[in-house]
Amino acid sequence: MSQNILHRNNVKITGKGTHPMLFAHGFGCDQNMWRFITPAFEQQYRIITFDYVGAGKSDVSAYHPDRYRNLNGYAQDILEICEALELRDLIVVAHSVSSMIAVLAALKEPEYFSDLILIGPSPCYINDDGYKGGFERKDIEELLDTMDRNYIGWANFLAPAIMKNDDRPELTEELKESFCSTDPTIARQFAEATFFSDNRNDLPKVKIPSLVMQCSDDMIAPYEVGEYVHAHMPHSTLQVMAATGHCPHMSHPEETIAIIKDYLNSRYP
Amino acid sequence: MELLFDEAPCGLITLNDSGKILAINQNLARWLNYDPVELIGTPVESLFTVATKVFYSTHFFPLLKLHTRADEVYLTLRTKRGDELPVLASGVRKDQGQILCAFIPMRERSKYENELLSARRTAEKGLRENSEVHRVMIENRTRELDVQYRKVLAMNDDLVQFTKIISHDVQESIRKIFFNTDLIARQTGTTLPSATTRALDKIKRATEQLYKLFRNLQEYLVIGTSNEPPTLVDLNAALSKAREEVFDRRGFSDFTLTSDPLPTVEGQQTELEHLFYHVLDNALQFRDPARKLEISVHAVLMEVNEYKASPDQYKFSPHVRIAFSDNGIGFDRDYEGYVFDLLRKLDPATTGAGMGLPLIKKVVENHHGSVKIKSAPGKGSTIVMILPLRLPRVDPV
Repeated sequence: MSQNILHRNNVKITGKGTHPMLFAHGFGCDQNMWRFITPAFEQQYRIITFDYVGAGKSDVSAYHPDRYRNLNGYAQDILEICEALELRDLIVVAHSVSSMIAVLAALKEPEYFSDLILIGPSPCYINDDGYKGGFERKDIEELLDTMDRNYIGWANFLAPAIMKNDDRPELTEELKESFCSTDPTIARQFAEATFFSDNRNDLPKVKIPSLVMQCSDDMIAPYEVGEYVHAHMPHSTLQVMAATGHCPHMSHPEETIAIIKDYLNSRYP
Repeated sequence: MELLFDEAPCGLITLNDSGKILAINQNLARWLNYDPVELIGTPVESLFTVATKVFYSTHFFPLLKLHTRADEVYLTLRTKRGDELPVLASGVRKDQGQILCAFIPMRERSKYENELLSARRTAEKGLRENSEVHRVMIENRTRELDVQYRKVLAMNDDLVQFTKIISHDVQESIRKIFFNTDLIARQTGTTLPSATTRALDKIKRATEQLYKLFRNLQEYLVIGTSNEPPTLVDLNAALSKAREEVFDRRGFSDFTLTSDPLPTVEGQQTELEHLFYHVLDNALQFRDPARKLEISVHAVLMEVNEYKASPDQYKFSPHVRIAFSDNGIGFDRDYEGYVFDLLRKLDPATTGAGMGLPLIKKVVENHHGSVKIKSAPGKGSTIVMILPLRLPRVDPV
């Protein structure tokens, strides 16, 4: 059973430490997105990275639309990995939508977790009666439309690679590495599960300490949203980053590493 | 070279690693109604629609950063006037961190794709509507089966355990009665009544044991068979009632009980009150005599999969997770599963019959929930139960 889970979620374990640290990727990518960050923690921690079912090199045959149309289905992936590896006192570093997935997991089995480090979290993307999530419903519908169009694009793009086109080795390489090239149908469902989610009521239930990392000028999770998360989640610390955009762990890895280290050093002196 | 950059029949743009515009060709600037110099140093996102900004951050940028290139990606640009310009974009990232992107407008192509997409969506919608009826029917059937299957599993479990008890414990007691009666019979009329008294004593104890055993078993087996209809039960009231019952039955009130506000759940009121009584009674039985018993109750609402026995069936619905923590004597975590079995007692010296936790498990499962216990010796135990707010039901098609 536990072997199945580790294979299903393409779980990778590195690091020389014992305190476990799980890195959960966000929407649109896979565990590769952590590759500028994890080496900095390998000396001190046990590093666990994985792909959600449907992403990266996970076992796509385990994808079940009813399960993954809800962020709780993704939270179950994290819990099943915790169970398979018998993890305790786990530090979760979660990007974007994974932040709320980690929150849901921590509510279900609090005893597995010690800290949540949330990069660009948002409990609700759509503006709602005084709440500023940053998006209108029509923006999200347009995004789903963009994804549908890129479905056409990707299908054409991936076709030669699937036919094992040897005169274009870069395509074969692309397939082998499959960076971020999630199945388009699954990616679209993940987009719906993500951008239509509303977990504002779950924030006050979180009892474990957390760090909210908020980028300057992040259009997906604007500053007000980070502030909202911090204000509604007990035992949280808010850290505003100089980094801009939504992916500081890719665009500004040094600052990202420094902030996580500072937080962990203060928690575990 | 510069001529080629400006006159190429496509939009060209170079960016630094944080996405700021370093250069833009005449064509692209003109299509977007900008003077090229106004755009130098601004973030490239300012040329995108909201949806494209999201897609850029979650797909295009990670592809460039991790894979150094992105090909044939559909994006929508926004002109200075606010008009939309659909383009096909490709980008490469050079070693020095410079990004070069090319955009080919696809207004005409886009119209064609629009039609394709809308045709596909119409077809999909028809298919969905058609299959929706079947889906609901199948889902109802599966849920029905799941509920029944679980009942069968639970009944079977009872049967196995019942058989075990009948064949061992009960027969053992009956054997004692028989043996001792036999002894009295053989001794009648020959010796003093002292041995007879002892034998009679044994009969008395064995009969008592038999009586208790049957009473407990009866209590256990009766759960889930009553005809009490499910109602909306206020768990706060159920907890208060359970507390009073602990006092009435055990005469014990020297403990503190603090609780989060509890929700209202659908279920059989008598059973749920019974459930809470046994949870409190369990804490009381295994309290640490060295300190005052403290019981705290924490409740969190969450969505949990309704399907408990069928693999690969998912329907997330509102549940409550209630954790009862005590500061009792606790036990080793190796026994966390064992203690839910009937008549299992970790310490034979305790007064309980080994029925409390199995009863708790049965009531919770009868309410389509799940329960587990976490314990640490010397620290205490936590009983965690997850109950659905509403009992699963079959929707009419």
